[in-house]
Amino acid sequence: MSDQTLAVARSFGSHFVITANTTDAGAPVYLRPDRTWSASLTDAHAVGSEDERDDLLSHAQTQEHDVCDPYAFKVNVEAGAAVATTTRERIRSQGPTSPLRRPDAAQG
Amino acid sequence: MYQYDEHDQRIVDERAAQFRGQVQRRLAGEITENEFKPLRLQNGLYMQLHAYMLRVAVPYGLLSSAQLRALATIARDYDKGYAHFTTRQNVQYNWPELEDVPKILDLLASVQMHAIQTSGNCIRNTTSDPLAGIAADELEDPRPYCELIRQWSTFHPEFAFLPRKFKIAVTGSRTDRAAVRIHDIGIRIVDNDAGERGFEILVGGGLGRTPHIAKVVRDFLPYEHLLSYLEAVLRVYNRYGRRDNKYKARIKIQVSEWGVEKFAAAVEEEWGHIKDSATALTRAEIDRIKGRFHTPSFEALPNEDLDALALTSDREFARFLKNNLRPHRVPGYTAIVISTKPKDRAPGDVSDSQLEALADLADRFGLGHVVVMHDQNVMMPNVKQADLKAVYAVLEEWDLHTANAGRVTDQICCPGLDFCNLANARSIPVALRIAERFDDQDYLDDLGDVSLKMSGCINACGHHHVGNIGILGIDKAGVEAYQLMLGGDPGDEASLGKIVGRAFSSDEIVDAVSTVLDTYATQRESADETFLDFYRRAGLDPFKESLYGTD
Repeated sequence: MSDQTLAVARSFGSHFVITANTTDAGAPVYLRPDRTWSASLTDAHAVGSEDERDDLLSHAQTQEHDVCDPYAFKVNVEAGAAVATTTRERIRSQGPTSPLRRPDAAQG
Repeated sequence: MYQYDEHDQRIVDERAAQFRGQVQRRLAGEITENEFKPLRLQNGLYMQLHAYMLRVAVPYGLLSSAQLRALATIARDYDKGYAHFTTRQNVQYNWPELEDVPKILDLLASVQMHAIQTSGNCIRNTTSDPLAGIAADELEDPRPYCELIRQWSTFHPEFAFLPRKFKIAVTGSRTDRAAVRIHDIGIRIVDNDAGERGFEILVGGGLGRTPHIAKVVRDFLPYEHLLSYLEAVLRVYNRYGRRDNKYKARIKIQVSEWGVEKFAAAVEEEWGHIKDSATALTRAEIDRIKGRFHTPSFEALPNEDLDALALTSDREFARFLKNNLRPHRVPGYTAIVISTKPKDRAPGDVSDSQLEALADLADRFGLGHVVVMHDQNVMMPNVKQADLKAVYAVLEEWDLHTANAGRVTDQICCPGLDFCNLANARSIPVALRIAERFDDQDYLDDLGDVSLKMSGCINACGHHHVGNIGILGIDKAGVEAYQLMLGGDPGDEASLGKIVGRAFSSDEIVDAVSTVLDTYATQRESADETFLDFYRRAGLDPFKESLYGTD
């Protein structure tokens, strides 16, 4: 089993996308077809084969100046866009589901 | 408050400067993430789902007003306007950008704070009793000993790469409010039969994947040997603790596999070599540390008639007096639990403005400091009883007046899958739904004290094993589910909760908690029988029957 295969997160779906966190902010990003990074999962390049996945992951692992710890995970493709199949990756792509900070009562 | 000396200050200043260089090299691409990761972790900087997370150490939970204001500034200028109190009495920021972290560390250092050893396989922040220094049943204030442990363990070269992380708690009271029995090492200040002061040492407690209650390895350790004995325990663990499997690497596994007698014998043998070494404590050294705490001076005051004060038309103030005060050893004073758990906020979260309000309150009414509690609340330990109305008015203004201390909505809750890279399930949304469901304060008061503790994964940051009601988030084929356990308690009669039965879905779990509470409320012998007493008398069966039926 290759290191790249080991780097695939436990997930299910018909396709793979490559993700990482940015070095400057730690924000999740996804590898586009042109091999640049997008903050949106819907922009991700979803590939169907393990060979394509491993090729993309190899490329991502050369980008460690800009991103940290890239890995692949499985998605479904709906209307041409990648859709997360696990709660973890859905929350990671869309942000926390709980409110971050309420307005303070004393501030009206 | 302990005041840094020049050595303490130099350590944190130099560490901040060192990390600034490391961050610059990472951002410039001169070092890889694999090279940078251990450096950032040694400064409390994790990578979570959405961003970096910075964990700031709050030794034994004690915060001055100046430190609160610095934490507020960090929340406002470098985060999203809030901070999060943890079960290790620390503070976390969920959204710092990497280039800002050195500035944050500089700001922390300017108020005698840091993020050292808040991550990694080292000795973590030493915790203590939130009532330390003011409890009537206290033999001695444990915080100077916590501070000695902090200084001894900071950058200790022998213990920088232990098999796993290592947590120590100290209490000076007969009643354990520091959860010493669920720590790697728990320390109780005790007197022996001859009236000599020393420590009872417990080892091998912990939660996580394999929970254990700590066992006594020495029932009396003379005070001067505290550090040498801790060093002996750490040496035995460092040498023989398992490194082949991270899930079996905590000291609790070693104590369990060896048996406490074998472990204690190994410690005694090692201790025999070092007990009279340079780590031996003198009374003068302890007094030197105590002298840097600047113990507050209390006025001679009469006790107020708090029952009369509670006879007010303001029912919430009366409830606050009933639920959120804790006794103080000095007449005329009281401690206040400030709940961070109103029904629409993540437990433990406080805004920048609230942090500043707490700082102002501490200065005006609390002798200048507060204590972060391991249940994620904040305690003002030194409030004049005569000031209670005025303090409450400010707390109400800032929505810090929720009168639910000790009640079931006073939940411990980890960040869960909304933030944490390790989590399997969300915990904050479940906590919010529980708070929403149980918003009838009369019902909560009728139930009395019930602890509810929730973790989003088996690592148990939310201490679910020792909640009267524990909730563990799990992943069932990509879908969140929640195991319910009952009967846990971290105190003097420490016990681990037992799983009731099959896990509940996210939609079911709040109803399940409701069923548990109703089962207790309708079947208890009297209003004096607490939830924990009822569970210990009746066991799981009545709850199983209510939750799952008889089949």
